[in-house]
Amino acid sequence: MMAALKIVELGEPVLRQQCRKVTVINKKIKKLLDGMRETMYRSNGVGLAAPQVGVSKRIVVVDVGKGVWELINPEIVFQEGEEMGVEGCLSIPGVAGEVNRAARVRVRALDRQGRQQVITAEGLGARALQHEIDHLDGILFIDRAVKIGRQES
Amino acid sequence: MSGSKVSPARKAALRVLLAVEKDGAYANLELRKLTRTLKLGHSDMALLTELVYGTLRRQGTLDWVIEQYSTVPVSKMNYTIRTIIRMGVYQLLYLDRVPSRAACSEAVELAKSRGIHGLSGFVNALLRSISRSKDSISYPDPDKELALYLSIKYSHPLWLVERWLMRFGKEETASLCAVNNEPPPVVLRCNTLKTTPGHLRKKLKEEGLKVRPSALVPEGIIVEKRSFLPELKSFRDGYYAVQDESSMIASSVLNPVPGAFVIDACSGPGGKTTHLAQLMKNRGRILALDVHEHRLKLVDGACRRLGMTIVKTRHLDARELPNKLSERADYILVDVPCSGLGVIRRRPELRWRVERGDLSRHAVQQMEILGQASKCLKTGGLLLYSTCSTEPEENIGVVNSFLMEYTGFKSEELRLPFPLVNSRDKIDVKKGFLQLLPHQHGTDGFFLACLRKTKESR
Repeated sequence: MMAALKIVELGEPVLRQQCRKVTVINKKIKKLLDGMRETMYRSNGVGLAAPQVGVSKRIVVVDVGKGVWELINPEIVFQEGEEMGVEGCLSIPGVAGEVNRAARVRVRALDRQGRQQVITAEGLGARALQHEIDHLDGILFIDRAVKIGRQES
Repeated sequence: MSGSKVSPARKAALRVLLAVEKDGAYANLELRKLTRTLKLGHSDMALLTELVYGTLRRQGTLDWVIEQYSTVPVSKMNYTIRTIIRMGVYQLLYLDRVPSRAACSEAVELAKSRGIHGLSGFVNALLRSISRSKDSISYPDPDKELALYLSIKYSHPLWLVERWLMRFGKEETASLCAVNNEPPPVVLRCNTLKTTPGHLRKKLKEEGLKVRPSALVPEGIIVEKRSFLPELKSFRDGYYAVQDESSMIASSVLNPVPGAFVIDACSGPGGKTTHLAQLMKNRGRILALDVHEHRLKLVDGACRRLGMTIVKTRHLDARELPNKLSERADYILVDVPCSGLGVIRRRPELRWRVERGDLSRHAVQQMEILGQASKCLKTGGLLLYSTCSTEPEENIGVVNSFLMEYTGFKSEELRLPFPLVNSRDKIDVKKGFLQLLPHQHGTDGFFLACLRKTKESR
């Protein structure tokens, strides 16, 4: 029994929906978080949003080499600077694009215990957070990319 | 004195367990220290090792059982009483060769010898009631609370079991936990500068060991049925080092050519460092770095004993490497400090010390070390990242983030010294990494990833 979830790909309506806020953090939500974490690692990603596994809820997981961040109802409360960089997406395999993002962000969210947490990130962390939080509003990186190409592998 | 009634092995075991419980000592180091001064006979030595490792390994189960019969919660007991009771219950539940009466009365005597006469009655009553009802102890219901059940049955922290259940499912989690409670194999690495594995095996047999070749690495030799190794002449003569197979795989995969310049960024006691030196036929240069000076002394000592002359140790933090090293190395080994969750079977107290949040703390440091060390690699050079952890945050999580941030690096297919059976492993190895797990591969839990520098770092 493997616990990795199935990642939905471009074309699935759920990727284009506005996700609902989480009201109660119950066992099911925690299980979803665990599953998302495993799926992210299994597919060598640095971040994953709930709609990517077919769940229209405001939940993301990110790991940019600082351990896993589990964010419920995340909101960007502050951002500054600009930085161009290359992004890809597990739901759009084989495609990469250059996206302009804020260089530094501060994100407020709940953790799995329902406690407020504030995460400040720059560089890759800031980029991953913005990319994943975009997913919760149905926005994909290809909507923001200035240059799109086939991803070399 | 009443203390003389207690067997020396039990007295020594209590000393070690108290050092672990009160002072945060490491059981394996404490044991080694004590056996040097105590001069116990072979059977006492075996009992001492069994009591220390067993009581620590089974602590979760023992505490569950104690809680059922004690009027005082385990957390409220004083250190010494708690440790004496755990040791007693361990003997009652797991050591068939110790009669129940002996386990109880030795515990009582131990308490008295520690000057706790007032509580010896409590110890006696508690152990006897557990001894009477040891066949009817109730455990959590696996159908209702699977995670709790596994956590109590296999004596693992609940958070870790929950995490593994999600990742591996029920059967695999149970077998991983079970392997973590078994004594690990003792593995030796033949020093191929001085002899061949075949010759060494013959010599070790003459010295009284039962050995067989490792199936994973050609230079590995597995010692059968041994919890501790006597000091042999062939060890003093530098014919072998003690090292787990997983750790040998790391150096074998990096496989530096003779004459190369290699940096070992966190060389620790030097197992992998000296392995690299022998793979290089003692030609070239190895710079061994570590933040702990005493660990570098161990590296120096191992090199002297094994006859390796190309290793130079330097007391340096891999995160603060001097500029003159940048773009210099042909190969870099980055074996980072980690949670150690892959070596639970070797470090019995470790599972109770690691906390959930430690994984992120380690990952931050691992990422820093990997990033900084990678700058010392020449373009075209090869880097090997490794941990003795089972957890993805410290492993694939760090490597993925590194690859995203350091675009001059590409993952490189692993060239392993042994064939793989698992199809998922085959895919991983093509992608440049491998997660070894005790219950699947029979090695310590270990992660390795191979990265090649394709462009100069910015």
